[in-house]
Amino acid sequence: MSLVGKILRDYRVVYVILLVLVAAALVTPLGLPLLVSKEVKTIYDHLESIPPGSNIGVGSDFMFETFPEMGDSFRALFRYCLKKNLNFICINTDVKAQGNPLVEQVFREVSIPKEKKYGVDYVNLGFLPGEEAALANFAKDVQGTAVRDARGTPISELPIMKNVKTMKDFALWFGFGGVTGDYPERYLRQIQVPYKIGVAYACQAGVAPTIKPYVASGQLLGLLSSVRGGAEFELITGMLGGGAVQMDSLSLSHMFMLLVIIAGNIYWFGTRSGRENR
Amino acid sequence: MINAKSLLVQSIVAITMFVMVLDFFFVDSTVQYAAKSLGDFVIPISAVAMTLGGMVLALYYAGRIRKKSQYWQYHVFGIAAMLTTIVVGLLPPVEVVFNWINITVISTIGISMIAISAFFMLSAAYRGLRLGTVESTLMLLGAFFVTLGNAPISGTIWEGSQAVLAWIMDVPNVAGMRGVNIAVGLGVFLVALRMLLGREKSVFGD
Repeated sequence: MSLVGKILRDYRVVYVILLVLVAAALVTPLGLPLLVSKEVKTIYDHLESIPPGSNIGVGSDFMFETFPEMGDSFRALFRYCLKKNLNFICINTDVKAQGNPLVEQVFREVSIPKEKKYGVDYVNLGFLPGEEAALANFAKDVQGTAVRDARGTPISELPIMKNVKTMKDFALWFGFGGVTGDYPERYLRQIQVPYKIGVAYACQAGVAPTIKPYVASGQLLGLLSSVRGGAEFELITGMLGGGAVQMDSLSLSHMFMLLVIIAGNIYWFGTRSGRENR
Repeated sequence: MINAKSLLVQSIVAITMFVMVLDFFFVDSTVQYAAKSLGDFVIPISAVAMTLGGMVLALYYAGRIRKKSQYWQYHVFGIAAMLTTIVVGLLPPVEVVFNWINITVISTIGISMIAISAFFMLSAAYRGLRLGTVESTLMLLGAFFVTLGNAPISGTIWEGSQAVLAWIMDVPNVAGMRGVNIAVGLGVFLVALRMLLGREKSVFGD
């Protein structure tokens, strides 16, 4: 049996090579190039056209499992909104999601300029039970539906919420998805269609193909797909962060996967023709 | 024979759906008020449903533990974890301990589970994606170009990789997913129509 055959037959060797490649690229970034996709650029262009002081609604419906994939997109959006003086308003309406503690974690982690204050420039309205019906009610009557923020402060006492009465007061809605691909629909049904508000979305890489029809139809402004989407958003906004750091390991792991697929096929053909000759 | 209880439940569902549909398509202050009032019920009902779900789950697992059913030991850990999280979530200081459990325990376990899948995907890819029949070759080519296009470096290695990826995702993928979405939408509409007409009773437990 050839060396390639031995490696391919023993999964442990392949796993170790993958682990080493990913870890090495994280520890020592190579600075491999990254291109910004059309879908990310569309979101960025739309954000750039929004005047300072506008409200950006964020559906923080991510789960602990999915947050490593979408956390960089969320952090990048938060930092961008702070830089551009856009009000950052988060709410979680998905019962399966754990957006509330994760948003608070990001608020603690991200380096926030001293002049930016919680409740004035950004807020976490926490978890609102009721799924899509709660989102619909929130869109109709923000003040009457989300009575308190995640920290227990009545939203009537939060300066950021002073002029937010209905969904019409938002310039953009940015949804963050969970595990399955059914999440953009609720934002499209309850926000984009009735209020004609632009909706952008961030999701896991595995879910992205199911969401593509909404991007193709123009209902979603664009899509930040997984860590790469976050990294592209960091790149286009000029605020590099955790997403960009992971791009080298993503490139190496993908290229390694292609390599083993090619090697596996060559080996398989070689052994098959060998057997046929015998 | 019409069951009075079923008729009452169906009537509530039908009226609620009718008001919500009217609210979506027509601008009328009375309908809007009615829809908003109905929507306000959802939040407390959902909160009660979650509490009820937790209680039912605890009772179910308590029963399995009492009967010493298969894997009953796991249920002990499950109930203990659930009770700990509830108690810690309700008692002060909420932020510190509750968030510590979330971030340190639940998050780490969840991330590990997702990360492990990368290794299985890798071994499945090189064992399963093989040249052979027309179908398997098409699958191999599709997976190859999508993987290549998703590698951030691919655009620099070969500019065409992004165009191939965009074509696969925007044409065959969108065509397939659009078909699935339209079929699901029609199915949901038909179920809603059956509920509105009182023909769909499975959701009421009948």
